[in-house]
Amino acid sequence: MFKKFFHQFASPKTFYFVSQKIFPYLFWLSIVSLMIGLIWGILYAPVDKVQGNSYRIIYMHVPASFAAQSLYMMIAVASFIFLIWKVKLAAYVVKSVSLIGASITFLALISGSIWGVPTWGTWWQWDARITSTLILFIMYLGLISLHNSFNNLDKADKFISVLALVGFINIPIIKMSVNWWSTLHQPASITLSSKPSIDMAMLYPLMICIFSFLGLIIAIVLRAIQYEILLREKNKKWIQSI
Amino acid sequence: MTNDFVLAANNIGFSINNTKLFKNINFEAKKGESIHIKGSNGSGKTTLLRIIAGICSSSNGEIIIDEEISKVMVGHSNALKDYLTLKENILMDGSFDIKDTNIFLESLNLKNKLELKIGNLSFGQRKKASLLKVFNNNSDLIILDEPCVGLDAKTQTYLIEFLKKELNKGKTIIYSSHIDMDLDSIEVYL
Amino acid sequence: MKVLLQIELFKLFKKIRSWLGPVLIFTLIIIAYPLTVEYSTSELAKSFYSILWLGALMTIMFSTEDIFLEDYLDGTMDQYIVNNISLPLIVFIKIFVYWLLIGVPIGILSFIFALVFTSNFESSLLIGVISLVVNYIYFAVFSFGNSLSLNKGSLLSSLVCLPLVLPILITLGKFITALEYALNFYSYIILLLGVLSIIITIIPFLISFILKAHLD
Repeated sequence: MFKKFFHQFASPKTFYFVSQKIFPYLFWLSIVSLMIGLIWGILYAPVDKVQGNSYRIIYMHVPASFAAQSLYMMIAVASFIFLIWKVKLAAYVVKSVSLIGASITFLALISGSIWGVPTWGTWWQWDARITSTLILFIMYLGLISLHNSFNNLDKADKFISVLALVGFINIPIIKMSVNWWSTLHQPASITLSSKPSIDMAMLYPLMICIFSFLGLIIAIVLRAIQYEILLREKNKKWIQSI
Repeated sequence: MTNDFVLAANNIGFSINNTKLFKNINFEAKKGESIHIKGSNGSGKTTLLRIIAGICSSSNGEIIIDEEISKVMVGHSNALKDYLTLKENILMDGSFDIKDTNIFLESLNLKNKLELKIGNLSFGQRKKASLLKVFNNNSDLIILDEPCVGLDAKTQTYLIEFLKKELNKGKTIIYSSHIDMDLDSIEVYL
Repeated sequence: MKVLLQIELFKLFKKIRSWLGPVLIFTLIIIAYPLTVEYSTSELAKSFYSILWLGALMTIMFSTEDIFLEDYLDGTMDQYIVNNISLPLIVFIKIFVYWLLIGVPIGILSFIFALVFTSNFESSLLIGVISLVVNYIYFAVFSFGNSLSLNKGSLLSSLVCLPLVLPILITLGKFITALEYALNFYSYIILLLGVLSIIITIIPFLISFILKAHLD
């Protein structure tokens, strides 16, 4: 019985219609709560003792990097499902999410850079977290470019799944080694975000922003997967009846 | 009781990017039989031959093949190294010695080309060189993809005579060719 | 297997520019390095090791450019499958042969250059040995990258695999520091050997899966 549920869930047709229903709610709810979080954070949260007002970019930076990492997690799980159980929908997930993931990681890097200027006086720092994010960005780019270099889409799906999984195994390794490396170098003079020690008044808007941003991104992901489904299965009857 | 069965294709279909190339292909081959795959350009003959050889996998259906059958295949690409001489390529194939191939080299007019690099041979000569592995084969199944392309009339006749002898020895041949090779084959249309 | 090894070795050996080229490029990089720095030995020694490791890395990355491409294009790979030759075995032998003809000379040259620069026999020997180990890892990883973008024949995926070897570079840096301050460097050697053993076993199967998917 579980298998039947699973198989039903894996059909692109079901996914399309279910996400068509979910999308408006998810999208508008996320936008509204994101607005609330941002306004609260930017206008009403207290001024930081050390960094002044410039810390407020955290409300964009942290949600972006959290989303970037979650999306890669999603890609890794989908790749695994695709390679083991050959569910086509999982391949669509990998393909569409990689582009979104790349843009979000780029956003995280840029916002981190902008934050760096008033806090450290520099656009870039070679510490553990930043370097790992940069590598994550390169991985996303690799996935996109690999998929685009193929004419035969079934082959392309297999290959990005393999690359995504290899990259996924590599991410903890890179994190560990860059941590190891940056203890040799000068550590960052101010740590990026230390959640436990952050003040409650700043934490609430931050959490709201993180989760609503994630919701927004998931809504966009659903749309992208729907688009992919339309593109790939355009010969099927159920699409032509829409 | 001898087992005559060599190969069977059950409901083979192949599609790329969700568009079907061919479907519902069924045939069976026994020892001493030959099968001629026919179809227009782009109908998927090469793909079907590659599926039979085990290089590609079909989108649906299956090939049932006797486990102990050894195959030899000559496709569109030559499997010869451009920067090595003909002699080195033959030696590298590992399965036969220069002496064994002497008769064939004579008939194919390649004997004096042994020390030439493959890159310096003409198209037809390369094709003849790639067919050497068919002449020297001790496999049960021979798969040929348009073997007569680029061959002159004399070599074509020589090849067809050779294949007829192989059929009499009990080997199976599956091939595609726009030229009628007069081998009394079962025809499969794509 | 011995026959296959001899065949692949012969094939690569005959293709002189494929293996001699990278070795010469590596030599050129190391020889050109002193020219880029104001000549005083202390300046040279500071980044010498980095140039050594990076030179080896880049050379190997470019030298694996057509490790599988040639066989894929001229039909030899089809023949491997038709003749029921185990594809992981072929992949392993190919990587091994490339390592033998390119990686080992680079390792020996690293030993010689380290000797010239530091005049310390023992540490140069260690550097040579580590270079041999690390080169194999590079070959394996970049062959994996090359196999992914086989149809386009470009360096695209090899570049994408560059982040995968960054931890190796970091380990090498730590190793050099440990050497210089005479700390316990054996742990790094063991670490790299461990990585090597994992890579030797997994990569052939991974690559043959990808190659089969390409041929489909």
